[in-house]
Amino acid sequence: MSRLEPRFPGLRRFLRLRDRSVQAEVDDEIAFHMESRVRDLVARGEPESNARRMAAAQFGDVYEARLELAAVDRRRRRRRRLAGAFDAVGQDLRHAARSLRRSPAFTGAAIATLTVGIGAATAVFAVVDGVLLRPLPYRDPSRLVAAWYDMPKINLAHVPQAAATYLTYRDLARTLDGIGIYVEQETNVADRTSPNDSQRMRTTVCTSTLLSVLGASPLRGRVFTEVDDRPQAAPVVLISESVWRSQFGGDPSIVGRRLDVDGVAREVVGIMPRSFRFPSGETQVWVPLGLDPNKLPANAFNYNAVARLAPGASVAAAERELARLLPRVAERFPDFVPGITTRAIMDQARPQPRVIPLLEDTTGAVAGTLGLVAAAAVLLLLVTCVNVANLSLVRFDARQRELAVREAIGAGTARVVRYLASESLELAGFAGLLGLLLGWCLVRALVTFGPTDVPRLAEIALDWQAAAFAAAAALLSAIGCCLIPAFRVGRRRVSFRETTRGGTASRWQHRVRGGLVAAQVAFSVAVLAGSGLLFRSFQRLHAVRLGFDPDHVATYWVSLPPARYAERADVARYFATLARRVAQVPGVQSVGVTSRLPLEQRGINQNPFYPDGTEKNDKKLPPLQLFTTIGGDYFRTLRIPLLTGRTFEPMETQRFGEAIISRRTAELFWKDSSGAAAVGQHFRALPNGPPYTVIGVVADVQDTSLAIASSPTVYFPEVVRQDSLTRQIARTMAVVARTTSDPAKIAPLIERAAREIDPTLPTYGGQTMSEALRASTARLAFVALLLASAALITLVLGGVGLYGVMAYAVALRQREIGIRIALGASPQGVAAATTRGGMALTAIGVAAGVVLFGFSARLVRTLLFGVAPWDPVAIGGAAAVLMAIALLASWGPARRAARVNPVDALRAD
Amino acid sequence: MAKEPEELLRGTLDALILKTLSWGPRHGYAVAGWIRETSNEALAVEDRALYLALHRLEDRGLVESEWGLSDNNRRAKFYQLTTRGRAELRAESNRLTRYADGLFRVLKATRWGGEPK
Repeated sequence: MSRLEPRFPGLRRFLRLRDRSVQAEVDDEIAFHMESRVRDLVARGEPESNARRMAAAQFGDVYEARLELAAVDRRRRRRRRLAGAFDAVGQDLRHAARSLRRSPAFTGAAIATLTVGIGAATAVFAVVDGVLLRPLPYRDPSRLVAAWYDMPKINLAHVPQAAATYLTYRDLARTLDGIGIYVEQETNVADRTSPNDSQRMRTTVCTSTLLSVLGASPLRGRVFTEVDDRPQAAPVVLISESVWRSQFGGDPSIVGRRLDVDGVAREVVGIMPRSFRFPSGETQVWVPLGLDPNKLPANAFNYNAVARLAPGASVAAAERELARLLPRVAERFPDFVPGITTRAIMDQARPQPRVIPLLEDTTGAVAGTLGLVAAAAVLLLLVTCVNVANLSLVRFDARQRELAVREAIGAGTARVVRYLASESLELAGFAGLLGLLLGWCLVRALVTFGPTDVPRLAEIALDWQAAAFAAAAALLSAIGCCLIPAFRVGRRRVSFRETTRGGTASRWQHRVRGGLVAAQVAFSVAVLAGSGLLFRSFQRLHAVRLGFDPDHVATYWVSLPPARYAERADVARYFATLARRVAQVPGVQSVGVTSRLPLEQRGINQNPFYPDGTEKNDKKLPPLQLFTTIGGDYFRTLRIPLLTGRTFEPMETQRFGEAIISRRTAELFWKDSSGAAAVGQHFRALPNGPPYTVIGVVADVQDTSLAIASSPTVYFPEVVRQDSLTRQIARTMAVVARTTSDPAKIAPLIERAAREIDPTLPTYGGQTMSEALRASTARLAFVALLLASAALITLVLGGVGLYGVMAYAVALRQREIGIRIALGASPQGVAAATTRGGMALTAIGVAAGVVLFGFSARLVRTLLFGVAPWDPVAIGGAAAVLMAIALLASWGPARRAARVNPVDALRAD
Repeated sequence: MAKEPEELLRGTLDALILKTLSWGPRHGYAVAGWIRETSNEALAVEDRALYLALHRLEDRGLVESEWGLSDNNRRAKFYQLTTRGRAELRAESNRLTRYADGLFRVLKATRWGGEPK
């Protein structure tokens, strides 16, 4: 065995080849050749040194040759190895598939269970990813921020910008690379050629800077520019792609045409693509704000702001700069609203700028709920994995003999483990595909039937990231399935001598399975407890006193454009006529109109309230009130009780200067919750504004939602009320009608009344108050339903697992039971002992579950109402349900234990 | 007065090696020697090219190798034909023979358009 080393020293050192044996063989072959050649040359008479030289020269470049030959050999070996591996894997997969097909019960149960777990988890992942994780679909979205104010001194938070602050920041802020503002509204939009086909569309009124900050680019045409922002600019409008396709048939000539938007003819300058979903996927048209810096509207903090951070600027730096610029706002715009200086506002309210990354701002509210749902989905996935692991273990036990044979004929531990793994992979792979399909269906269902106030709902889709998640979940399940059996095989605990005689392996299996089932029970308790809490919240919510009677009430909205209803008298006349016409519809008991419906978001109007007789201190900003305009028999229609005083006259003869307040307002300002002290008192909406007289006090109404206390409210008569801050009369009102029969049937008739008076006005937002009530708790209801479904599945799986474990225990201990009975134990005693075993196992699981729930209680908190996370009823109820299921599951095995015939048991060795 | 050993055309080396091995297993040195002798020194094969060709033939599955003992009890790598190698040898042999025959006819022609003597 000669080596090249003595002759070519250092070669090997230079060639740091990985596969030494390949190189070594090549070297040996070349060495043999060299030796033979040298020998022959010497035999022919050459001196040895000459011979070596000639041999080397004849060979060619030895160094290169070594590398080449080694490379060829290495390639060959690699290819052979791969081919061998492929064959082995293919064999394993084929055998695994055959084996699975031979036990259809196991295969079916395992695949079904895993599919449910993977499908639910994938669907939830798609939602969480689409809403919370994915960046917003705008240019460089990580630099986008929202700008708000906190005003802790007057108890307000998340307050939007004012025109004055926006203009100041736009011109002076250096940490911001652009800022834009917007408000969301609804407007009547019609094609000029068919004015009667007017539609109510979600509108965003914004500055051109908003579009440039977001980096919005149009599908066709152009976006707003600075020119459009000027107050005297030609009126323009942008429409969304969905409106373009649905209303105008995708006709490209729409750009340049004019649309009638709330009575103003606006030219369509561009179409926004479907991917531009700002501020929400439902925005249909955009209209320029048209701020005149010299004539700012008196309505103050009501513009939402989006800004882009300048390169290198941080959120904290921006906040600091915005705070520093506040005095400049007061310099440039000294009068905030007539009668209140900007300086006064700043001193009173002490606004603290808050800059929040836009993604967080958009989705923060729903993050808690999503976290809860995600936790439940993860638990569900774990339960299904544990369940299938349990099933695998049962099957493994039955196959001990087969696996022992495999090992005996030389398969080797690794091979057997690989075989088990390929079974699990096939199961999980199949379940993964089905789970992806199920996930897709669930996502579709969620988007269609779920609560509609989830931000970025339209962006939720099942795409490659969700598919990757499903694959990961399937892999996790596969590992979980075969982990324990593989572990056993690895430890060489498989042998021919295994029977179900109660050997150590079987006892071990019983313990492991017991542990798995206890884990299942724990997960089940956690999900069930969470579900119980949500249901109790739901109950409590619905027990809240509404303050009005929502049954048999139909509502819809109408909005009068200023262009056609310019005069106050016109508006008043319209609504009076409308109320009269609706009252004449058969089936209608009473009618009212209002600028704000309870439990809805439309029409919020909050203003200060200065009662006369208190210290005249126009430097002090009082708590804000909800101002609502009503007409007709509003209170009577909704059955809101009048506590004291009187209500307004019929609409045509309403008197200016009168107002009705809610009980809370009376309590706040006159410290009298019966309201008697407030009647006859005066107040103003502005320190120098016209005075109003309180003529009556009504009960409180849940105006925002069931969970939030009712706001202090002031009601004004419709006809002659002016919004003291804008001098505008309320043009957007809801018609409220109490019906004798089903309100849904009467609704079309009363809506028709509006169209009869003025066919160009669309009615919108029609629903019954019962529907509104349901919608206000829609999200909670939905999440509760989701959690309950997950709980049900985990309960079923847990129950089945429990049954399996106990049946196995009885089979395991047959001999022991037989002996006991032979020695005089009663069948009932044996049955009771079996049941006790099952209950003990469940109790352990329940205890673990309660602890698990304790850790995750934080997730539920955001949704709860009226119950604490540690509500004993919910947790105790969950525990009780699990124990009941344990009892049920143990009935069968207990009976079997009681029926064991001692003779047979002893003979069955 | 032997001419300089000619360079071999590519691809023909494989055929020569396969033919050499058709007489039984041989190691690389023996193959080189036999080719040179049998061709009457007309065909010269650089050793390095020969070994590369051998290894590539093995990669293609036309020959297989085994370590054994040479005549003087030294460890050497022996190559032998596989079934595929035999088939390849037949095919290549036919092809090359036809090629050489064609060459011969053209080069030995005595006049334009006629058969050689």
